[in-house]
Amino acid sequence: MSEDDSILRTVGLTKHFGNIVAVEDVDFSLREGEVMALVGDNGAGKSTLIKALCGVHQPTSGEIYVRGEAVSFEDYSDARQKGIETVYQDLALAEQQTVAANVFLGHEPIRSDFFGRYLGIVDKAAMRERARESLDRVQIPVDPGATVRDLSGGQQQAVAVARALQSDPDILILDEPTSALSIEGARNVLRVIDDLREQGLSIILISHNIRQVLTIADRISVLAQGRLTGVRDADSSSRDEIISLMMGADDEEDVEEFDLSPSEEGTPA
Amino acid sequence: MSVETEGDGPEETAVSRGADSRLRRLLQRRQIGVFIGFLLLFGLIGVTRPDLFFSWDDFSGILSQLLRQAAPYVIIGIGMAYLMIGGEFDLSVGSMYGVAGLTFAMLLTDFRLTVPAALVVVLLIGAIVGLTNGVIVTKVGIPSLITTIGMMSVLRGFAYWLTTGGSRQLPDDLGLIDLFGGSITVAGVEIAYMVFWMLALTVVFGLVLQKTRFGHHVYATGDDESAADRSGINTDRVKITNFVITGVVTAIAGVLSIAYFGSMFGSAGRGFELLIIAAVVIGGTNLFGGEGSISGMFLGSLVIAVIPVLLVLNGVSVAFQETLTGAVIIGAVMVDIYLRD
Repeated sequence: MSEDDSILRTVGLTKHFGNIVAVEDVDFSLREGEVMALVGDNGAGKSTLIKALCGVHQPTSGEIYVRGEAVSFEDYSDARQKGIETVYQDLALAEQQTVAANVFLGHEPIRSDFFGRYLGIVDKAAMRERARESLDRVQIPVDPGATVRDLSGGQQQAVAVARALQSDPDILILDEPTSALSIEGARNVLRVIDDLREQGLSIILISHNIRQVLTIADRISVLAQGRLTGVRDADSSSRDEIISLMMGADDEEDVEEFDLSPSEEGTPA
Repeated sequence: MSVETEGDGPEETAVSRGADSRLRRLLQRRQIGVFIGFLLLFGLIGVTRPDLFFSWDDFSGILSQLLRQAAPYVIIGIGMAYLMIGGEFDLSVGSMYGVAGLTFAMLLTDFRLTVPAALVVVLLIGAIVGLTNGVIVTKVGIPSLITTIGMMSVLRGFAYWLTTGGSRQLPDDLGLIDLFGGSITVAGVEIAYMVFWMLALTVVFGLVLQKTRFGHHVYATGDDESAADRSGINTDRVKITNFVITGVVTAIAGVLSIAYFGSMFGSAGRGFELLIIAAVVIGGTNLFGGEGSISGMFLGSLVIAVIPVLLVLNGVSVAFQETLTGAVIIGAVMVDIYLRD
């Protein structure tokens, strides 16, 4: 069972940790080719929901459907096989290694000659070349031979995205991609998200930054206290409406004193 | 001053920007610094004992001694470098070294095994010890500090049991033993075969670390285990493999040593663990993993090996030698941490 146009969908998704209810009865859906923002206060259940979608957590109850097919993920690789890639908030980069090594982390290309295949010798030239192609796709200039820790926050984000694109996913989950970036870095990342949507990817964007979300997303799902409190079209919604949904309330009177996004423009890296 | 260590990753860094920057990069590499440090210490022998240093007979003796001293450090250091780049370490190597040599002797004398058969058994013991360490660290979750200190004690007890407190000799007239314990003399310098084994193992394991997918995974595991895990790298398997490699190369070092000297004490290899960790760190391996090289470890081992040679030639007492060696190691690691910041 699935809505015709949803590429990823959850029905009644619930996750408990002992007595703690992290996510309760969430019906979430992502349409093909859209950017769906997922917003909510700290502890609202965003990361639990995402972790269920990328295979880290197994739901307590409820179902996940990918293109209408019920799936269950034991770990990251199961989700990856279904075309779901995640760019984690911490980026999950090996910072002392090169950009190329990170783009291919765990999937290094092997030389095709006999010794290469037999001994597992990495084809460094191909790795660099293909890393460059992936980085071109996100259009942020990064030298594949540079060491990751020497890059700016925005460049590191680009490397993480380039790696996620390596398996040619249909669905990309971006966890707070701009939270640690400068204004310039954040702008670049938003442009990358826009480009990837143009290329046909379906994207889930987790963010605290309501203004950013209203600019870039097609739709916005709001979580509060583990429940989905609303789904809005970005075009016809307002910051105040989203914030009131985040508080799990329809009463917009309380909203003004509740400053959820102190760093609208992003914080310096 | 900052030291550029990025060439120590599996992916040799940077696009070529002409000969000038190539030379500069070369000079920035850790290995050059360590090699200069080694030459300074070696040169100090010439300053303090010119009488020995500038007589070929004595100088060749010093060289032989230095190579022999360095060989076990380098061979065991291969495993330790893999482990430390992968974010672990092994304190049981000194005891394993003793157990390997003594078990080899026991199998040849008490069980009358042939040299190849005894060698295979000893290598298997090394692999099983490494496997045990690795499984306890990764699957049971006990930190390598505790696990390998425990293993150090278990194995040392076994070494004393094998010698009943004294030593063990190899029997005479063993076939093939020269392959491991022999030596040749080139221009007056006696080179033990263990030196050639050391070189061969260094090259092979150095290439594996730099060129293969497994080598890449070792670096990634030590750099950020959680990131490596999420990229689909089986980090437990990487670490267990590193422990097994360490057990096996340590067993090789123990066999080579008793094959050369003909006998071994129950206390053989005591304190090796610290010296070898120091050699690996001096060679540019990050104490917290993700960075380092076999070539750096090789040069670090030469530094560690030259210190006692220098001290002995200057008549420094054994007790004070240990103190001074320990101080040099702490100092070297402090310099390393300072340079990284």
